Amino acid sequence: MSAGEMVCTACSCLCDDIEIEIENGRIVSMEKACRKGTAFFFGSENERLRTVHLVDGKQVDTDQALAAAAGLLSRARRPLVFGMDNASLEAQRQGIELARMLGAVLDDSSSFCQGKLTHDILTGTLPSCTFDQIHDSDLIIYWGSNPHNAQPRHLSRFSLYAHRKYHEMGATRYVTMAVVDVRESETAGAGVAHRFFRILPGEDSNFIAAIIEGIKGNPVRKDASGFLKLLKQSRHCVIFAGLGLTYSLDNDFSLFYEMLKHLGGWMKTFVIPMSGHYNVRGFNYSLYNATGCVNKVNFAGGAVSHGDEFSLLEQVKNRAADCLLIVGADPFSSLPISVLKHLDGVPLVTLDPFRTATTEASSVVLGVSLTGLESGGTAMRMDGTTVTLMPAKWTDKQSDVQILERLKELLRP
Amino acid sequence: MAKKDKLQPLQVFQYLPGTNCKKCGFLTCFAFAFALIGREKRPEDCPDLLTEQYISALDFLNGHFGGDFSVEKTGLLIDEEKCCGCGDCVAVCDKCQGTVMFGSGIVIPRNVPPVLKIVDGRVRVVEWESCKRCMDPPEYCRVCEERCPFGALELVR
Ligand code: SF4
Ligand code: SF4
Ligand code: SF4
Ligand code: SF4
Repeated sequence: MSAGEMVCTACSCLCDDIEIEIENGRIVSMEKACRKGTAFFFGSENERLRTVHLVDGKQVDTDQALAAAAGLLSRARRPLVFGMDNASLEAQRQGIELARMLGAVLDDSSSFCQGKLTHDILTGTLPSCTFDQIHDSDLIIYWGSNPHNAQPRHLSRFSLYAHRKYHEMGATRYVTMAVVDVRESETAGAGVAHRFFRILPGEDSNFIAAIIEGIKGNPVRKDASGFLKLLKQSRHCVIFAGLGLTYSLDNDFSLFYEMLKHLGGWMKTFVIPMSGHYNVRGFNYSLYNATGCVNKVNFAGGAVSHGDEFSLLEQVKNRAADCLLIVGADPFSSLPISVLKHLDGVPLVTLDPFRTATTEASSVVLGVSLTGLESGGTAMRMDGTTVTLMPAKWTDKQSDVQILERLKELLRP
Repeated sequence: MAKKDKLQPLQVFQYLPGTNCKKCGFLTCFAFAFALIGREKRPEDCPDLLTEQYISALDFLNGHFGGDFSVEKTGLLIDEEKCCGCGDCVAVCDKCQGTVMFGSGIVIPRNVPPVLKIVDGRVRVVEWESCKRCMDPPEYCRVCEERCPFGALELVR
């Protein structure tokens, strides 16, 4: 029996205090991890959920699978590399090099998630902070996000309840939490949020415009003036921007940034995008360092070009890609069928520790180890802090870093 | 979904026969309603509820107060199915922390076991005796119940 600490890689909180007990290669118990993380790791013990190396549905050894993958990728004229949000920073580096070598298009799920916000944080146009700096804040806002579903330990470990100034019995409230959402989620519910602003779906831009009007001194709708009053009392605020906000604004944050600029008159505001997969922020960071863009790049012809036409959605819809390398992502579960039907006949090479809808549809599947539990590395938390992952369990599977490295060797011209 | 609505005694009372027949051992049906909420009695302890006439009322009451449960002396009823393991209850409970902080900023480690802990993704009770409700005299703290976003914790007394 061995007991130790590990980092949970089931969401972008990357909780690094998980206590795990392992006996005879099986997990016996996990402490502190939430239900999501626990299910993720206990699920990894079920062999039926895990992948093996497959070529056209037949199990093969690593060399054969790699040769088949290399064959498909080298024959492709316009390959597309997608994913790596569920891969360590090391694997991402290998993946980016591989994409560069192949002259491929490279994209990840941030192109339809929080890519824009992360890009602006990396370029320095949007102020952001780390979880450690939250202690200075006096107002925490969850906008369009429900951490109790997506990042269950966000409040208890990083934001409200971990706040140094939070005191359950304190008569004075030094830190206030407000939620802006279209429905009364668990986070917005009674007992958790101090203030809840309910808006209609798609109304975010209207709400923001009202706040700006309010700052200028014009009369505005009632909920916006209540929200503004809250902001007026604050000097340091952290906004957790969820996908609800991003989708409602349709990736056009100009109004939101204008609001932040106006707020700058009396307070400091920091934005942390709530990302889903554990290393999306890391992917954006790695690619930004390598190319200056956070997603949607094209390495064709040895140059780097960037544009909306290189997003997975556009590539698939226009049938631009003739072979896909998918690393730790499951587009077949997240994309609509109207888009996926264009992938008919396109060979897929997939690296994933788990069986997913995408691995079922792939010509070549490379079964890799589960980063965080079976192999280590580093990853970037949603606030931009680098966390070191320590493997807790032995496995005979190779990690995605090793597989990508070997694939790179095979494809080297 | 969000927190379940806790039934108030008057609501429970509406489902009881209202005859104050005392067969349950209480003087009034209203007193029995309190006992149901406190999980001291079960719906079938009222003999009249078992008759044909009250079949839907019995169903309703069984939905809320039937089934297997165990309420410890702090009165905490845990519904593990609802718990997502967020750890909010552990984070807000003074008696679940590993340390004690005094007003002067001095922090010392606490050497008694915590009340609650998250094990395998669900909330577990480690030590009832640590709860403020077990102190002498007890302090009627309800913080964990109030902060649980899923209504997985219910203090019935
Ligand atoms: S909050 Fe996220 S990282 Fe933390 S234990 Fe839960 S799933 Fe894992
Ligand atoms: S036995 Fe039923 S009807 Fe009679 S007093 Fe008790 S609750 Fe009321
Ligand atoms: S009642 Fe109070 S002391 Fe007892 S477990 Fe709940 S929060 Fe802790
Ligand atoms: S009982 Fe409630 S507050 Fe505690 S971990 Fe479970 S869901 Fe969270």
